[in-house]
Amino acid sequence: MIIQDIEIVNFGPFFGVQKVNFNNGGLGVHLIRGRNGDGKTSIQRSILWCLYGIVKDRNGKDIKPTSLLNYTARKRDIYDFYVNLSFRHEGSTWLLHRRMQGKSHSDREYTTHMNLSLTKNGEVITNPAQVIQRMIPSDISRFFFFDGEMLSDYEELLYTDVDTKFLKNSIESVLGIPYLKTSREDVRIVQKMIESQRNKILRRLGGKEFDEILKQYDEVQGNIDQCEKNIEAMGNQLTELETDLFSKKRDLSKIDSIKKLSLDRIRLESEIKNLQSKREMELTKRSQYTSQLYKKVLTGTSQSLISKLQGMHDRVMEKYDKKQKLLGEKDLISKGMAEQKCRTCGTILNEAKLNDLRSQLREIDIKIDALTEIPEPNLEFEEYAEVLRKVISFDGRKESIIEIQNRIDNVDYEIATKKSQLNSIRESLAGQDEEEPKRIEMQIRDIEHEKGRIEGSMTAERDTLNEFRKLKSELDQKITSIDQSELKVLGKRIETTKAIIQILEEAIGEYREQKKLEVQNEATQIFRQIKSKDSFDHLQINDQYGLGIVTNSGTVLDRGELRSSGEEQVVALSLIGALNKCANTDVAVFMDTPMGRLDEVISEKVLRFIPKLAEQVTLLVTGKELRHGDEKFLEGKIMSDLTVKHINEEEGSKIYHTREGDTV
Amino acid sequence: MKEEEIIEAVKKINARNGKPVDEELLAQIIALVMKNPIDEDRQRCQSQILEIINQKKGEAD
Repeated sequence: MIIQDIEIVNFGPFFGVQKVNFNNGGLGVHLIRGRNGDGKTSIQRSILWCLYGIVKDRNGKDIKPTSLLNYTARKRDIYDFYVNLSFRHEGSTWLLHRRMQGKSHSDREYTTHMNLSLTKNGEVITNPAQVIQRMIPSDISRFFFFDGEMLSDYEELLYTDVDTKFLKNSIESVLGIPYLKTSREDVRIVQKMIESQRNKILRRLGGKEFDEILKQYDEVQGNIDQCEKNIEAMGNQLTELETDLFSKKRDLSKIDSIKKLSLDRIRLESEIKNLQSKREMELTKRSQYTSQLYKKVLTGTSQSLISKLQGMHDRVMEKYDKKQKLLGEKDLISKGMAEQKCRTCGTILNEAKLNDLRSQLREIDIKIDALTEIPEPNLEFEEYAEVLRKVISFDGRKESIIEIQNRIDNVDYEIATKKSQLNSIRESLAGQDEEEPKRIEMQIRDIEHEKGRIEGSMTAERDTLNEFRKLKSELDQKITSIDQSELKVLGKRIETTKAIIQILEEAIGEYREQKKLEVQNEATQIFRQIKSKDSFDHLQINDQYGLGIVTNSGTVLDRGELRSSGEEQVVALSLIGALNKCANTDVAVFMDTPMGRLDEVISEKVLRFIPKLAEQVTLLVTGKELRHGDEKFLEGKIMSDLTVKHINEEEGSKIYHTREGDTV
Repeated sequence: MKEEEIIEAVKKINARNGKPVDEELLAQIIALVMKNPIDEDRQRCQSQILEIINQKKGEAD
């Protein structure tokens, strides 16, 4: 399946029509960039919803239809959302359309009025849901549309003491093992159909001997049916217990890590606080730069304003100084006249000199009067001039503001990432108490005890079943010995079905081992291309398809605590890659946040490997995962480069072709 | 597609068997199941398997 176009309408964060067109007919590598919360995962979910009508959240729970409708659509009473998916599959062009439309905003309304249609080369196909299930069974979709945040699930496969049946079954589905199991069960039912046909003939023949055989046969068959039913019921009980056990053990390991989580919480809280202070500082800086940048525009005006102000100020100061000098002179003369003595040399002043001084005083008064209009010098002048000088000297470039904005964006991203980590830690820590581990341990013991009891009963039931089958076989021989051609033919057919069942039984085990080895080899090949350390040699698969790292010296790192989270992700990606290579079907691969836990060196290796993963690979990545310039590692295989961006609450998210300078 | 691969694996085991079953019959059954893998297909698929077995192991056999 190669996806060519997706049309998303009023789904999740997308209001109205949003389209994703994959160039090159869908072949090659396609990028969908976006920040956390912009809508990348929703694109992937829209595909899964279109295919299967169900979308699960990261806790594995179904998302309700009412939660799928876009917020703005709901606000505007538009209770209608749909997804169109066009793709190529086995040489044909397909168009899948799924729509939910209701008169009101209720899950029931949407589910009742769900519409699904499928066309193949323009012709309408009946039973579209079944056709899609035949193409890609929903239980294997997780390997083709996978979520990087969920890669830790694959780590559970390593723990052989934890039964991860559901995951193991999905892996076996990808590898095609259920085909053999279904074939065996179908042939088993066919065997019963032929037996029933034969018994009818026997009844028709009549006679005491035949009646006796038939009676015994019916009895044995009844017992076999009952045994099979019991074994099936016990098998279901065991699956439930194993799932329960898995979840309890997971809870317990979570509790064990509470101390570490608490420390992580404190560290994250402090880091977020520091980042928020950093953000505040950058915001202030941005505001200053913006204001200065506006002022910069006024540089010319400022310069002439300073000159004018300086001229005015100088003139005022000159007159002011002159007036002050005259006032000093007046004071000196006045005091001399009062004392009738020269203030400089002490000579006694006669009347003529006094008259001369009076005349001087009058002249000075006239001059002072002329200067009376002169105001006091403006003391704020220097302050204003300094502000204007700063405006001129400011090296305000638009780039500086962009740099600050980039720093703010990076801080925002870091805060968002850390907050999300903090929230998940808080969720894990919520409601924990000291007695909880003991309680869980007791529950685990109870479950294991019950599991052991059922397993014992199952073994006994299987023994009984084998006994009944032996009896049935003996009766079969008796019937075959009856000289009746029709019965002989049916007998041969029954023998054939038995032989086929036996071959298929053997084939299941053998094919499983063959595929397991293949997965191990493929995963090792991928691992060697993307591994983080030279000392890692190869991968080793266990019965649950978990992969252990084997070092050059032969040490097996098969426990999570022996490997870093980045190494875990590399191993998980190797498994995913190997399953895609070994899968019995060719499907497009969508990888949501595949490199979240990887450093730059490993990311580069993963990127170089990605084009070889499948015919169509779509990467849904953040700017932290695919850094500027990383595109070169995809070696010219990028066929589409799209960005999804959340505009605002009203408009929701939009998908567009990535433009130069877009930051995500 | 891996249809051939699965059929080959089954044929290999059949060949080892003391009393091998008709290879073509095995291949037909597996191919049929692979084309009809879902629960809704079971009844129809089983009827077709019965038909194939009836044809292969008919009265003339």
